[in-house]
Amino acid sequence: MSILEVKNLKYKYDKYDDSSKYAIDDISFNIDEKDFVAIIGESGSGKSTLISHLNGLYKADSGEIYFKDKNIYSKDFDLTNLRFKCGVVFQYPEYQLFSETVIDDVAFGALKKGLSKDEAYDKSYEVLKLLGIEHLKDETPFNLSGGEKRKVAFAGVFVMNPDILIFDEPDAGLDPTSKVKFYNLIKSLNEKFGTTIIYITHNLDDVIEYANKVIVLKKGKVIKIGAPCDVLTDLKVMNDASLDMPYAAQIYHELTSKGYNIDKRKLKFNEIVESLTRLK
Amino acid sequence: MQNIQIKNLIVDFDIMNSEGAVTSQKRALDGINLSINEGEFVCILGRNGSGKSTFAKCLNALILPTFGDVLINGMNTKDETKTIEIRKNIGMAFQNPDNQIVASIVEEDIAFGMENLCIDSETMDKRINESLECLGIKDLRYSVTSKLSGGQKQKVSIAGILSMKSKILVLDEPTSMIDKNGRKDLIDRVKRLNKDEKITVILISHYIDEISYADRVIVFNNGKVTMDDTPNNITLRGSELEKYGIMLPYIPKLASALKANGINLKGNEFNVKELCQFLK
Repeated sequence: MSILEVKNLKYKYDKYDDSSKYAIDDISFNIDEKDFVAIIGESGSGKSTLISHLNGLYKADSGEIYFKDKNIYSKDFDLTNLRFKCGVVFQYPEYQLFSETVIDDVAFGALKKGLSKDEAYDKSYEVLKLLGIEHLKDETPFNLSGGEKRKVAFAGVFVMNPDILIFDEPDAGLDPTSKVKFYNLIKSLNEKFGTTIIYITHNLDDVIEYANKVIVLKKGKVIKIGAPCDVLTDLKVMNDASLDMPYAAQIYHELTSKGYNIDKRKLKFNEIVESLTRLK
Repeated sequence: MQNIQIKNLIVDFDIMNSEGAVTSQKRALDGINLSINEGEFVCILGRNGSGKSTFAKCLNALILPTFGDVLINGMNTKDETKTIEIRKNIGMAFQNPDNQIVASIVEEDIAFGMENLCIDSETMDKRINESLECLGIKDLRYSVTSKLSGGQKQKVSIAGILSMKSKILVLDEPTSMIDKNGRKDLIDRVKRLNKDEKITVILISHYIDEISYADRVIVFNNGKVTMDDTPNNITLRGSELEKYGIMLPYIPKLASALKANGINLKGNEFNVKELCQFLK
């Protein structure tokens, strides 16, 4: 079932300048419940502008967005509720931290959502544990390193238990081990609780590893939507988007050009190891 | 000639409670001894909180040592009369470009650093052109900085640094918001500066594939230098790297998994073609 439907969305920053280009130029797509969607595209292609529309922070110049079949631009739509249901974590979320201790900062959203103090703090502690930073709960967020601050900011969104989690380049600035932990965590939220994940990334090998759908943007337009194994191995799409193929897709093409038969749907790291070992 | 010398560098941070009273201290850097030569390209790796950014800030006297000394071209960062001279020598790009962009138009932002160095306007104009050209963003010269994407802002803040013609460039995760092609392009350009103009480059990154540009790789862990080696040797020390929260790039990681499955590889595979040669 579709949880989010975007129809003919258009948006430009300079509204009074006829010659300025649309940052979002007639974009339409559908996101189903439990989808794990990656949005990719070169810098300036409109990725961040697009996700700022999904919880109603930006209002499109034209077009519609439906959240669970309700138009978010209609007068009777409850935008506050949408923002609890659709949690967005922006680029460098650590600059949004403001409370005196880590746990106060994480509990803030949960308290605003109406949870009792005990419930909010218990839940916040659980989320800190999930992220492996419960030992920092009484520290002031401003003494933490960049990566630690980021995890605190994630915790503040996770704790609200949203139906959709949207991330703008969540792995920028995370070390590789933290990155794997982070993706495994959102994957388990996606699999266990059915949380829909939408995220912007430049790491295309991770898209093959985790996402089930990928949206490719170029100059404000969607140039392709599909399964990562189909989209990321498509030479024309990747060229049009000015993106480098992920390594897994490069290996796929190298092997097929040598006459080997390799299953395009099996391009995750472990599957590639298995295929190469078998071919030998 | 050595241009950076670090002698037994220790940095402690005060941990404060919510009332602002110091409750304890946290050791961010713990006895660093290093020499970095003129013209070297050094890549620094390490997990979040390992001390990388603190180290970078010590180089241009933003953070002063608690113990030990940092000498830049023989000038001690503790000597306040040398601070301006040290900052002329070291150009620094931070993780988040929003912290660094001060003007509303790109060309004004790039000019800001040069204005502080009292450079005449003709030279400024020439250098603005050169640095925009160098980063491939000439078309952004008259753009409004607040309307740029994250990746474009990162390029603008680096252009500002390049225009100051510093002898040492310290780049703290400069490409975290840039797509893979753009990232490669930017590091290629930095490498060219390093080769052609003998600029010393210190690159802090979580993209371990960027180590292939470096002459030397330094790994930080818990405020200490735990590895200091050539890129080739570092990739052969995969299990040691994992201990410090670092993972091998995709191809060396795949090569290592294939070796574990009994496939005979040479051990210096850095691209897809080299890796797939064993199938011939």
